[in-house]
Amino acid sequence: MADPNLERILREHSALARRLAASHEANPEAARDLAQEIMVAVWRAWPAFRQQCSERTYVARIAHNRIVSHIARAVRQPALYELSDELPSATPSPEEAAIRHSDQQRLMALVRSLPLAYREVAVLMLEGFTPPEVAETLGLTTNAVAIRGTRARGMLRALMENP
Amino acid sequence: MNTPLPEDWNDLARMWQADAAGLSLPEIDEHLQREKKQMAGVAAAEFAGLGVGLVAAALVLLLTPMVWLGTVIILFGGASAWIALRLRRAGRAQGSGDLLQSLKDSIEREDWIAEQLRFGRVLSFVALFAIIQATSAQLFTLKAFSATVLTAAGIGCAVVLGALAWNVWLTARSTRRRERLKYLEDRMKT
Repeated sequence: MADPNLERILREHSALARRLAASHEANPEAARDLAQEIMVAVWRAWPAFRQQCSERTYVARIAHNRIVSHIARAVRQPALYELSDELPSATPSPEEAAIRHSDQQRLMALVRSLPLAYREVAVLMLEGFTPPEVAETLGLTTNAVAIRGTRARGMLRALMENP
Repeated sequence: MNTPLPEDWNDLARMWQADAAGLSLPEIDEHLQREKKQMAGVAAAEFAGLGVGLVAAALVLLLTPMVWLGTVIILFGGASAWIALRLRRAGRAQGSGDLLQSLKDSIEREDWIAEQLRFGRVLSFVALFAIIQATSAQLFTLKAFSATVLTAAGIGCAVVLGALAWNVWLTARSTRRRERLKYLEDRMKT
């Protein structure tokens, strides 16, 4: 299968999909599978994209839809989390890469421990979405996003101090 | 030893986004193949169920004089296949709406699935009732114990009960999904 559109979508948005999946699914294999499912859904929905929002907002909306289906399906499966031994491609030294990787894993684990309503907002804010974009993705008012964002930051800070 | 995570939100966001590993085309290809296999597996199981029903109906029609029973099984199999096809054709929503809208759509979809399955269960009970009624009438007419009549009725009941068990399993799954979706919707609205 060599679809240039899929190649572009993967290149530009699959990291976002992977991080969104990992912020809800602790099991690394299941998270990878979920990210793949998200990207397939994005590819299938792409012809219906009418530039009504930014590309990454569109991707985030579809990702959330799939994540919700995944959570609803996996109601009986316990979340298994193991620290992955895989390291990202190393421009920094192996030691630095390991520390950075483990910091990212810790941050991911802390974000996963937030209540859902705050986690959704925190993840999108960490992704660099503006409050109106977060509101558009989640179907909330900008005001609600601002309140939840502030609370999510506070919760995350408290978790970092007392993990 | 763990280093403390940065307190500044922008530094946290940078750390978060630094994990930029994506997915490759072969991975997606593999995922699509797995998805296709899973769908084929479910379709094969449903076809096998329908096949068993048709074989049972054919046996009853060819080997026993009870045309009514064969007809009931065929009608039941046809109606069940129609419901299964409707459920299969109603694919998932594209999901490009916002999260709360997606949750609402998913809950509505589960309600629709539950309605179809409820209709299937009613159909099963009607078919069971018809088989039991007609078997009693047949035995009453013969005024004697007939192993052929009882075997044929047993086959008919087994087909219907098998479909009913499948229906109950699907209903339990759909109910669990709906409860979970409703819970998520409530959590998001709070």
